[in-house]
Amino acid sequence: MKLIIRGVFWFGLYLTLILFPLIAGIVFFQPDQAASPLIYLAIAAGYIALALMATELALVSRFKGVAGAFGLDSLLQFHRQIGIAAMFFATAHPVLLVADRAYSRSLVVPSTNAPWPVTVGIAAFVLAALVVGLSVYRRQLRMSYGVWHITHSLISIALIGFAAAHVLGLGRFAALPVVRALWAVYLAFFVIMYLRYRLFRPLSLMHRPWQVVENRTEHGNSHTLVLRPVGHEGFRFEPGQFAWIGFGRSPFAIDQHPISFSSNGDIPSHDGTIAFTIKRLGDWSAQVVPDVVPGTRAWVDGPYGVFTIDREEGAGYCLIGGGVGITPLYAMLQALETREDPRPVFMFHAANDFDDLTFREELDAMAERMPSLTLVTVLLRAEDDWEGERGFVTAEILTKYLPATLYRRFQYFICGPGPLMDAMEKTLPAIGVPGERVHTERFDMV
Amino acid sequence: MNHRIVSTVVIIIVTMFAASALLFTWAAVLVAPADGAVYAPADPHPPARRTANCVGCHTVGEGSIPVTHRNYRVDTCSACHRPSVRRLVPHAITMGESRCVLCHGEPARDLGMPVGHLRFESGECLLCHPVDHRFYDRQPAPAGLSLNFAADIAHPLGGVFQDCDRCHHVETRSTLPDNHREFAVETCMDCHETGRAE
Repeated sequence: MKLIIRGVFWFGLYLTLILFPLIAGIVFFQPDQAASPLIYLAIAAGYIALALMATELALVSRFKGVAGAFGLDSLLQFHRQIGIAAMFFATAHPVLLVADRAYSRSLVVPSTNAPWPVTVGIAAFVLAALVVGLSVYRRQLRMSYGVWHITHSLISIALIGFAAAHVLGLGRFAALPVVRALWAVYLAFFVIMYLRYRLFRPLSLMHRPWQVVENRTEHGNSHTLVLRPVGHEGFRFEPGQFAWIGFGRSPFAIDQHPISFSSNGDIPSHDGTIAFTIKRLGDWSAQVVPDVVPGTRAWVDGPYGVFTIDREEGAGYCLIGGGVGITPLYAMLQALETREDPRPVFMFHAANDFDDLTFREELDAMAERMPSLTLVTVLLRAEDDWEGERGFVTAEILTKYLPATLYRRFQYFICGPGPLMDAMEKTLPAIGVPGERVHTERFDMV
Repeated sequence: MNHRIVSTVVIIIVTMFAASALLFTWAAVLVAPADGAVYAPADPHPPARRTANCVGCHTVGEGSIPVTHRNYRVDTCSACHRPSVRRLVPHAITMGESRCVLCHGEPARDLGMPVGHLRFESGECLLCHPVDHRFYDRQPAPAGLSLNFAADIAHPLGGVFQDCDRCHHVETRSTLPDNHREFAVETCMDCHETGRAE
């Protein structure tokens, strides 16, 4: 219910922000600018496309209020899917204009004779297609995350600028003073958001540097980085949360990555050290992280995230982790052990093979110490003498271990490869677990 | 949050935006009906070869076509800008075309031309306002007179009041309005009736 209330409030605000100029346009519109229904529809589609794209930055600019309500990973997913939807609206805009007999097909063909607002409109459309296309097909194009991140930011800014110039230079409704004033306010909001994201937030980190004190190799081709605060006390975090980390002399570097804490947030070390565990998956994690040496300056922006046991009440917990997705779940288990929480905890630890089991020794030791913890290890490829479960995590394996009378009242936290989380989001409701008790965390959006 | 919940929310929101676009279209059609001819200024030009090609005179560069029309095809002007309903001249043109403004030159007066017509040359009137063939020989009403509210005469017409010129000095120190100077003094009663005081 809390989620529904939060959703109604934030998305009500979101819908209002986007649709208000359309309502103002209707109220103040002058009939002498009358056009056909197709042109009105094209105007609405074009405006909604621009408004959706302009508000995309707000979704990922790490506002604590919004991120705290839904989780940054959910906002990233929303950002991605809304971006694709905005592209459909943007495509509908010229298609509807040409479909109206009053406009010619030459409208969509760049020409030296075309008025400048039309030309910048075409440029905005091409840039929008580029932004969405590069995000959806980055891996197929073998573009590094760092290059994608920079191009994504720059092209998005140019796209908003061109589209705003197109609307103000050519727009039928945008000719109204009240709509122009609204646009000015919205553009100012966009600029302030961007400055906050790229200037003020890094500035606030300037006085809170961190230093790498250990870079430890883990099973599963992973590394654990231990960081210590320099000149400040650090911070506490909820088990399962994450932070954006980056290295270098300045926090203004754009190369920052969201990584889950693998240390215990409940009782941090006396010197405030925190730990992140990172698997060699992409260009940064494979080329930069392994070579980070103790003494390296680091910048930590966090904590963020709602993928945490502290925000969900349940009769027990079921944690399902695959690969390096075990990291936030390991932080949860440490907190539960520290708190001596008596509720039952079931940890399903999945991996490709035995060597891929990150934190396997630590989890085994924890299972020895915690009577409430049931550790189930599932290997896709195992030796003949393997006594644990084999294959994928399935409904059969889950129901084999989970208490039949109680598991529907557990909270479920799943972190791992996309197929594992997709499968669990289908499997768990199929065995009777309510959908609102199933929590996943996804950062692999592009 | 559950990945599938987010996807469901996205679908709901996108559907709402699509519905909003349709709602906007419906409202816009109500506010400004799609039939542009209802509100688009009428084409004031008489049918003629030189007025058939709209963009021969009206160009975007000169600013005579609104910026929002830049992408209309030139052969679609008449879809919205229908020929205007012209007012025909209901009397003979006895004094020549350039004299129209003597009677119709003041917009504020009865049968005065619209303010927007003041920019036209006085010799162009018949280009848009031809004579109605039914009244080609009808003489126009006396020029410059108001048709509706000629003042009542506030005194009896007998005795010393019988001769208008005695007080109103038609020839010298006239008390008549400027636009009455050309009328013969014998014609006062054509318009001015005796008032209630009589």
